[in-house]
This record gives sequence, structure tokens and C-alpha cells, in this order.
Amino acid sequence: MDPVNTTPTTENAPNRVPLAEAAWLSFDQVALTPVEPSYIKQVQLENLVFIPLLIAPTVFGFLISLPALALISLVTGLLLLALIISFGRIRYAKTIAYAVCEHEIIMEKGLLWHKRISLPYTRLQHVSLSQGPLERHFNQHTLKCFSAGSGSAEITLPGIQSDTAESLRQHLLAKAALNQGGPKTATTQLDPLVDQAAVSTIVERPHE
Amino acid sequence: MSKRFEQWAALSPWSIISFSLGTIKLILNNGYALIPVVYTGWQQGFNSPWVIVVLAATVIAVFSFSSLQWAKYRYRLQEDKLGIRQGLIFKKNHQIPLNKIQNVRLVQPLYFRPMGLYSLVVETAGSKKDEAVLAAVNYRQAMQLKRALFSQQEQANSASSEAATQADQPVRGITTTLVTKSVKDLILFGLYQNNLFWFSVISGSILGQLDWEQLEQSQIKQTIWQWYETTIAVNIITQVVFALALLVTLYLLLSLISIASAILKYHPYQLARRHDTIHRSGGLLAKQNDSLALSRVQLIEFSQPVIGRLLQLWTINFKQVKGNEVEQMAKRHMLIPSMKRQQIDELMPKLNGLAATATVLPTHYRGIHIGWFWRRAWLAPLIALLNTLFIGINPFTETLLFIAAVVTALIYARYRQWGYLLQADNCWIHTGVLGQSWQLVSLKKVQHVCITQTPGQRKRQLATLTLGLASGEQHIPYIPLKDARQIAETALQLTQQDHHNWI
Repeated sequence: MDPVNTTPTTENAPNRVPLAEAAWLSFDQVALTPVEPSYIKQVQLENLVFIPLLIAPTVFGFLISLPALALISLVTGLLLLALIISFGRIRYAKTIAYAVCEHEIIMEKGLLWHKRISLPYTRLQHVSLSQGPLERHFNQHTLKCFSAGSGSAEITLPGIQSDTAESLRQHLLAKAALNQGGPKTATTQLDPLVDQAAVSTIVERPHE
Repeated sequence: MSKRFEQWAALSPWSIISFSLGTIKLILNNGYALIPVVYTGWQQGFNSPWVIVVLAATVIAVFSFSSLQWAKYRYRLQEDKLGIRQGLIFKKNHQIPLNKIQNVRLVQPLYFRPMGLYSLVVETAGSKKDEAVLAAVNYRQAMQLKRALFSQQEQANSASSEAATQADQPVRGITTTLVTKSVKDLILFGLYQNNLFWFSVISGSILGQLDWEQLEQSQIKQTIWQWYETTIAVNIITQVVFALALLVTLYLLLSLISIASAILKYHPYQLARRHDTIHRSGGLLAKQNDSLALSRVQLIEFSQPVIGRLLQLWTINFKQVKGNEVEQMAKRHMLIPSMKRQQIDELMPKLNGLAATATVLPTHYRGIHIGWFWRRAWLAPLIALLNTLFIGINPFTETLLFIAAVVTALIYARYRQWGYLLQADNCWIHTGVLGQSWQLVSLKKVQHVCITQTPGQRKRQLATLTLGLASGEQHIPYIPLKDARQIAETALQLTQQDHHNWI
């Protein structure tokens, strides 16, 4: 007996035919698009922030006249740490990839904890685009997709070309609105508006 | 349907009381308003006439402000919307679409008890600020309003999604009682749901107050000690029995608090169903009447703390969208206390309309991979062993070894109890350390799925599955990738075509 799916029949069985397992291409097997190569450059640039962080303790160590051995080990330790973090950040940035599928948006990330997230459009509440100063320089945007409840973004996708980002946002919102307005023919025109209002309050909650 | 609430209406003047309390709460929260009072008091000594003047001024200000609030408050129910107008200078005009209403709650605070009035709290999916309170309505009015709010909502729903339920539910419109709980049940609930947090807080503060040295020399203490030496300490069995009896007594004493609060809060507990909404009523101090549309339930949790396990009693929690709990302040969900397994099996079929279709609490589950245990088990023993190696056996390392053994045992218990079961469109997740709980996830309610793998897990074809729900995330670690995929894909299949509002 298969321990999974012990009682497959209930009175209201779903009106869809379960596919044979061989026919599935699970969401973690779909081919993904990596983020823009210039995003890697952006991360490299961000890593420069470690330089002042390295210099400051060294200078401070000099000022309080730390013994030479301690100073050397401090600097080596900090240097190693900075190198590991920088390298890790770059490797991490390279793992970020996404796919916009027919029914869902898929995202992959993670070096040690390799994560594959799938968010169906029917459960998408809100999409936001943001751009920091560095991102502006590289002409990129960060896309965030929100669902209900948690208040934090389920999908945070950095490193998207600004033109792509805007059209992607439009596409996602259109898909979400289409889905939410779908069956209620009478209220199709009203619903997206109402939902927008509800959405904005949900997203604003963490800032209270 | 009802034309009754279509015109703008004012609340009863009694609501000034609740407005006043709201204002006072606001003042206390923004403590700076109290600074003049405290300052004059501190300057003049607290019996100065100025204190009285300031106090009187505050009371008058609060009262007139509340009266104004009452005078400007209007509500109506029209065109699928609950409209609320309020405010003198900053005019606010709320429009709450009825299909966005999450909950309608009927609360009777102590100060409304003599007049037999209630407050009707309307909660929406959104922030707490969006909640609307219609204070000081009488019972009949409250019930009519509540019915109106839900019936319109249902009309909207039944047009699309729940047309089917009308056929298989001839009792539509009739309230059926699902569960009632006696005082005894609530006492048991207080006993097993005892919060160890209160245990530590109260015992800690009491022990801190005692004068230990004085106690050491007191007559009673010495007699007790003598009695202990002569009758108990003579053999090991009486010592063990004595220690156990002491522990049980302590537990029972401290349970008194939770038992009392369970009775005050829930007695006489009643859960009823009307249309597709469940209603809980009860409460000795503040009478409460919570409602929850069945389709709004995101996750059902059946939990059993250690003592509950001994008594074989379960607590059922109906979890909603995070931040929209039935009791907002306490972040508590609607719950059913003291349920036996058999009672659960009887209740669940009566709750059709829930997204979850399972009707029986399962008895077995598929456990997670032992890798989860090994990944976590090594740290505590390693620390203890390293310490023992370097400083040898002494009381410190002995305690360390003991703690390591306990920690490892607890991790093992958690591993043993972590499991899952996929039944058609429902996914059961079993967790627990000493107690246990079943989470019933309807895969229709899933918002996102996530499969996480470490390199080691990939080698062994294992994965951690995360099911993101509006009530929070559920994790099942170290399960075969095949099963993770099956659950995830089932959820995706269900949700990607499901256009109905799921929150």
C-alpha cells in the first residue's frame, strides 16, 4: 500500500484527471532564465562596501596600538571574512533565476539551500517594482510578488532589465486581475478595483 | 433583502461610554497627554486643587469629545457595502465591501452588561485600522445586522461558487448547534492547555518575594523537614512518590489560573452553524459571539499538549489569514476545546463548506527521513564530550552530558513525530515534541510552494517542502523528492485554475 494518497476518493472528488507521474514536469524541473549578467556586476560593485569596513578596524587597531600579532591576525581574519562573503554573494547572485509560465511564476535561488518557489497567478495579490541608486545606474529593477497574510514578499527578484520589469509587472497584474475577475461575469469590471484597495491595505500592514 | 439598514443611522447614545473608553485608551497610549497632569501633581503635591481642576477638565474634554464622536457617527448597509461616516474635523468615510468582511464579532463588554447592549465588530481582510465597531446595539438589532451582513455576502458568493451547496444543504437558514461544552470540559481544557509561561512568571515572582533566611529558621519548616527525614527519606520509593505528588500538586495549583480563565472566557461554550458560517458564543465576564465563514478558514489545527495527550483531548483551532485572527488582540483563533477523537470524527462531516474535505483525524503518517535527526543531533553531545575530554568528569560536565542527552532525546522525539499524509486534496502534517498536533492543509488554499534542497539532500533525493498559506508557512523537511513534488504539483494544479477568492 502506498502510504501517500491512502484515501484517494472522497464524496466531492476533484473534476480533473490526475496525470500519471511520468507525464509531470514538476515545477522544479522547468528550465529557467538567469537574471541579467549586469546584476552580477552590480553585486560586485556592492561588495566594494567591504573596503572601508576593512580599513576602519585596522586604523582603529593602529590607534589603540594593538600588538603586531593581534593586528595581523585581525586583518587576515577580516580579509578572509570579507572575501568569503563577497565570493558567496556573487555565487548566490548567479543562482538567481526565474521563469514566467502560463499559470505561475517560478523563481530559484540559493547556494547551500537551493530553493525553488512557485507562485500561481491566482494567488498573486500585489506586484511591486523598486529601484535603488545602484540599480538605476545599471538600468535594473527589483520585482516583488506578494500574496496574502505574510506581509513580506513571497518572490523577490532582483536584476531585471527595466523595460522587461515594467512589461513583466503589467503581465503579472493582468494575469492576476483576469483570474480574480474570471467567473464573476457581472462584477468583472468592479472586482480588480476592489481587490486593489484590499491589496494595498494588506501590503501596508507591516509599516504600521 | 432587508431595507432596514439602508438609511444612514446613528448609534445608541450609550455608545458614548465605549467612545469614552476608546478616547481614554488613546490618551494612555499616547502618554504625553498625561504629562501636564503628572507635572502639576508633582509640583504641587498630589492633593493640590489644580489636580482636581485638570482631572475635571480631562473628564469633561473626554466626555464632550466622545459625545461629538457619537453625534457624527453614521452607518448604513447598502449595495453590498457597509458604509460608515465619522469625524468632526477629519471626516472619514469608510466603505467596506461585504465580500471583504472576514468576521463579524459580537462582544459584550462588562459596562454594557446592565443595559443588555452589545458591540458589533466587523473585521476585514486588511489592517486593524479597517475594522469597524458598531457600539451599543441591542441584541435583536445586532443579530439582524449580523444576518444582513452575512446574507448579502452569501448572495454574492452563491451566485458563483457556492451554488452547489444549496442543493446538498436543505437546512439552509436554520441554526444548528454543533458543539457545546460543559464546565467539566472547560476545566479539563484549562488543565491540559496550561501555559507554562504563566507557571514561570508567577512562581518566579512569588519565590522572589519570600524571605528565604527567615523561612530557614521558621518553626514550620523545621517540623516539615523533620517529618520528611523520618517518614519519606527512609526509602527511595517513598521519595519518588513524594516528588511526583509534589509536582502534580504544583501543576494543579498553577492550573487553577488557566482553568479559571478558560471558564470565564468560554463558559457556556457553544458552537453553532448557520448557513456557511460558524458561530461561537460564551464567556462569563464579556459575552462574546464570534462568527467565521467556513470558506475563510485557511488551516485547521488539532493540537494536543502533553497533559492533553494523557487525557486524550484535542483542541481544534481554525486558523485564518495572518493578522485577521478572531481575537485580534490575543492573536487567538476560533477554537473548540476538549474534543475527543470520536467527537472530532462526528463533527468534521458537519463542517462541509470548509476548503478541507477530510472528515477523519488520521492515525498514522509517513515520517520524515532520519537525516533530519542526524543533521541536528550531533552538536549537543559533541559540546558535552569535548568539555568532558578537556576538563574531565566533574559536576559541570555531568550536567552538560545530562543536558545533551535530554536535548538529543527531544530532537529525536520531534523527528519521530514529524510526518505527512496526502489524502486527495488535503495534506496532513503531524508535528510535536512531547505533545502532538495535526495540521490539516487544504491544498486549494495554498498560495505558493517551495522545494528546498541542500547538496546532501539532493544526493539522497530528499527535499524540504514549504507550503505557503495565508495563515503562515508550513514546512515538511527531509521527505523524498518524489513526494514533495507530488504534494506541490497537486497544490499547483488545484490553485492555478481556481479563481475564487481564497482568503
